[in-house]
Amino acid sequence: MEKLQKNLSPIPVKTWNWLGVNSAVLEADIPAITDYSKQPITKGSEKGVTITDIRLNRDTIKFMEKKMDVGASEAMRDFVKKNQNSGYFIEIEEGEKIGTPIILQYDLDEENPTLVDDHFILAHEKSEVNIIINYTSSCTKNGFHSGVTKVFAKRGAVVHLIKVQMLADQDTHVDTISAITDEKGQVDFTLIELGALQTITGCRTQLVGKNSTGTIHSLYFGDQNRKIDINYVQTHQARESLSSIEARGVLLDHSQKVFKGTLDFIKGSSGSKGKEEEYTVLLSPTVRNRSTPLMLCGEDAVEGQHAVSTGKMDENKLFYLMSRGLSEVEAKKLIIEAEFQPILEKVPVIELRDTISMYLRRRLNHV
Amino acid sequence: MAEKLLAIHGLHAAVEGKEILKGLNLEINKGEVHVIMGPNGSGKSTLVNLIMGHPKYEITAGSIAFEGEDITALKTYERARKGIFLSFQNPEEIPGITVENLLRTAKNAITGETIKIMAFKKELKQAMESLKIDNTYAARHVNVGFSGGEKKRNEILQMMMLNPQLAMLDETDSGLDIDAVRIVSSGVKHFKNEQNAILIITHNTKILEQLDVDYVHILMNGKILQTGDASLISQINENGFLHLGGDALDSGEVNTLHG
Repeated sequence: MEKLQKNLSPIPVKTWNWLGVNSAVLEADIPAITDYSKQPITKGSEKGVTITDIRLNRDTIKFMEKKMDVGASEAMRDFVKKNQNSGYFIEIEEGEKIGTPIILQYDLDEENPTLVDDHFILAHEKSEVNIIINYTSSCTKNGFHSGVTKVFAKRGAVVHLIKVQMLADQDTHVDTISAITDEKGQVDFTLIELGALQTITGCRTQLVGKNSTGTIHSLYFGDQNRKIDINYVQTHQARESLSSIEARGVLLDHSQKVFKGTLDFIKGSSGSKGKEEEYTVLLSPTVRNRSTPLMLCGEDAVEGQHAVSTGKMDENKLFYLMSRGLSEVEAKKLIIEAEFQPILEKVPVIELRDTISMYLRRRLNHV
Repeated sequence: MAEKLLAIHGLHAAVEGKEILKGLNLEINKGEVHVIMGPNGSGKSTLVNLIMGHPKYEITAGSIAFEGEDITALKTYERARKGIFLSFQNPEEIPGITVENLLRTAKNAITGETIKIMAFKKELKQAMESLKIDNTYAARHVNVGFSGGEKKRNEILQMMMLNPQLAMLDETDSGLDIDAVRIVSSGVKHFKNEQNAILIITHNTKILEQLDVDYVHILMNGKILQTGDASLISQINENGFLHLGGDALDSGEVNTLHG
């Protein structure tokens, strides 16, 4: 058993401690990390893609890693380096547009209760790829996942990374993404956080190349005693770069959520535009919902927008649906599903989208 | 003898502490078409929202019975499942839910059965054609980006598909051009039979042209001031509500008739 008492989700600029958003620490002990023996890659490799064990590529990626931010937390990066039990180097050849999404399926179970994964995605010039990493669990007690995924989109490359987390109710999930873009490169993240007892998740994109783009579409669902900490940062380091963060979520029961969304315009990022938006539906008076949208401007000629809103279920919408024969629970379920729909539609595999919808419907049964 | 569908007696109701209905009586039998007219603010929308069970409205006295059963304690969805339908004056936009999905979910809920998908699709296609709604609307999100007229036609589509016993149309014709009113009116006529009843709130007589109206009620200042046959409509159109007098005049709540 190991304790990791460090701050795993530092906010880029600290605020008052009493707000409780400056940090996030793991509540559970980290179990002994054992082997993860299952094969996560469900599909054979396609032309234009090579997928190899990350440990064989450490030298190749070392120089690229140096350019990159550590992601949400240095402590996490060091932990993953030391304890990694799975991980891939995924390389997309120049100009290749990969039609079929690459899918990594990780499923924790009694034999494989711990996963520490470390991935590096390198998209060469003008390549395009969709990569899905799905985390599920059938652990009956204390499954543990932590991982780091790094993405490098070279000139004109487009990477869409979809991460779906449907771990079991007692599991722990700590996930960090860091990305970097060259000129006209684009990284799109669809991040769906639904399970686990404690979730600490971060995504940090450095828009290093001129005219590069970074987007994050995120969805979260807190119920029972779940704790969710989300920390997204879009750093504009080059001229005319674009970024957006869109997060939607639902909280009920005694769940707690902290959302930190930062648009950071570094000096020299003139002509850049960024926007962030978070919308949370609160379904119980006992939830704790905290949001910190941050905008840091080291450059004058930039445009930034941010909006955070929370709401109860719209009474008139509920009445409308109930007047069509839907019970209150059914109407609420439908509204929540509808709320999530635009983000679910970004999952490019229909079967997975259906699985997520069914999982959500089961969870929503006690709304 | 005609079978009684709806019976409202001595209904008093308030919104946020303000009394809107002040002792309203209304009975509707199967096979009948009732029209309610009245100046703005007289309580017309309050009445239909109360019958549907909107939580914002509070009944302070009186009763609402449907098919002999007091429904005042029933939830909105329970009333819908008994066969009461409201075509909304301002239909809600529900992003993320398609017209078809809502209708199928609603039909399952109201009939209590899982409906057969192919038969449902066929029925939906026919109903949409009769209302001249483009069939691509089935896959669009409910009322999102719909024009005012399209929203109202979508309400009538829902009425036709859910086939209620009592359909209440709250200014379904407002915001519609003359052709759209005709299409909606024809849809309502097609829906109407001896086993159901319709309650129409309107400022406009065009929607009534294809229907045989049995009763016209004038609602003013929270009460039914006068009930008559269809000829009352033309009287109102000519003279407005002002000549009817009553408490409404004293309270200064009377406006002239729109449209």
